[in-house]
Amino acid sequence: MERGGFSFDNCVRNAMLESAGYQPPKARKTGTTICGVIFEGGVVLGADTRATSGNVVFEKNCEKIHYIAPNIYCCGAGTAADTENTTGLIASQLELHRLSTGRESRVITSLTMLKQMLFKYQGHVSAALVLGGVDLKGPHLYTVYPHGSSDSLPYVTMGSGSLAAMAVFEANYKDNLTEEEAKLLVKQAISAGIFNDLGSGGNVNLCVIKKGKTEVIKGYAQENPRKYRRPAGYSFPTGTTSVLESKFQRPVSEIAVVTEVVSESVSMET
Amino acid sequence: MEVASAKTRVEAGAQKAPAQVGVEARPFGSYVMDATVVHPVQRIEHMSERQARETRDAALADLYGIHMPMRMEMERQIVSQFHRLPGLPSSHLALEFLNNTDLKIDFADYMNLPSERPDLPVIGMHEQMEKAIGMRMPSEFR
Repeated sequence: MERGGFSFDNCVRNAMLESAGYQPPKARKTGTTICGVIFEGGVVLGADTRATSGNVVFEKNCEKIHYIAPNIYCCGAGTAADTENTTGLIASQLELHRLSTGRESRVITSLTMLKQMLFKYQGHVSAALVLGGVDLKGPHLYTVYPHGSSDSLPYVTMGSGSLAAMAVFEANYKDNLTEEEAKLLVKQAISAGIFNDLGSGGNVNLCVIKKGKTEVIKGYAQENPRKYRRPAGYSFPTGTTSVLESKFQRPVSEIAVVTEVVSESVSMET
Repeated sequence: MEVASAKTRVEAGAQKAPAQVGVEARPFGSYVMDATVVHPVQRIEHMSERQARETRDAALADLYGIHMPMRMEMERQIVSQFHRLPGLPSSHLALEFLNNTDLKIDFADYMNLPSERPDLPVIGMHEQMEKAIGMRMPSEFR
């Protein structure tokens, strides 16, 4: 069995550098607003779209709502790579589980898998999640903290903008919301995060999960549209950037026989 | 990062008074590689598997008697012996089944695999063939 795993190759070197008086780089602040609310017969998840590194915005339109199963989605806050890999790992494991059992995945299964994995790593896997889905027991909504604890509530928020979003929920939530009311409430909550939290920004992405139907809405609200674009455009003539060096590498198709395998197109739920 | 050895602790203490002098007087070459530096996650990876096994064996022993974990361990030892022809890796399906890992995926299954590491020697038939026809990562990227 081939086994890989986390690489600790640089730990000894880093300890040596540290003992020689070098300051290690500090962990950077993460920023996100994600939230979810349960409505009559389903769940709405919401997320902003800003990715930051320290106080620099790295991406204005990133996706923070991750696929777990056709009936389960998960919003991620924290270290982007950790949320991406954590949700990807659980999605793969649930896919295997579905192939083995032939049944629809249950939200509690993904929650247990997530929290057991996160608890094992004692918070070193920095993923703060909002997990939502609909299964045979109805709609479910959970938050999962990086250390592996979880909450089950009718409306939840996570990330640095969670306070702004929760303020909106606390003011406007009521039981038995309709789908449209829930979408509007989540949009307002994420917008509160976008405008009041510096770590959050960009657009509002939504995911509406109902019994047998999942819909991911990208750019449900564009809170910060680009105000000005130079009418003349920004086309630069070829050669504006001088080429210092060029090299040609033979493509694999010239060295080996590459056959394209056309698989049956599988419609994704996104 | 945890630095556990007494040697490093003494050095850290000694550096406090003349910090800059200490740094300049010791170029990297004079530092001894400290094998006791262990990342907390490394320790978790190391301990969690053993802890899980011990918990499972204790539960089995409580339920069915000590013979049960012993028999299962024996079975595990037997199936872990199975190998294919030299150069071909065994899937160890029976072992995975006994360990209840056949339907599980974790980070170790896809991250940093030895066969994909450019700094390790190329072993295994697939990798050798890839190298022979130039499908592996070009050497300048290694």
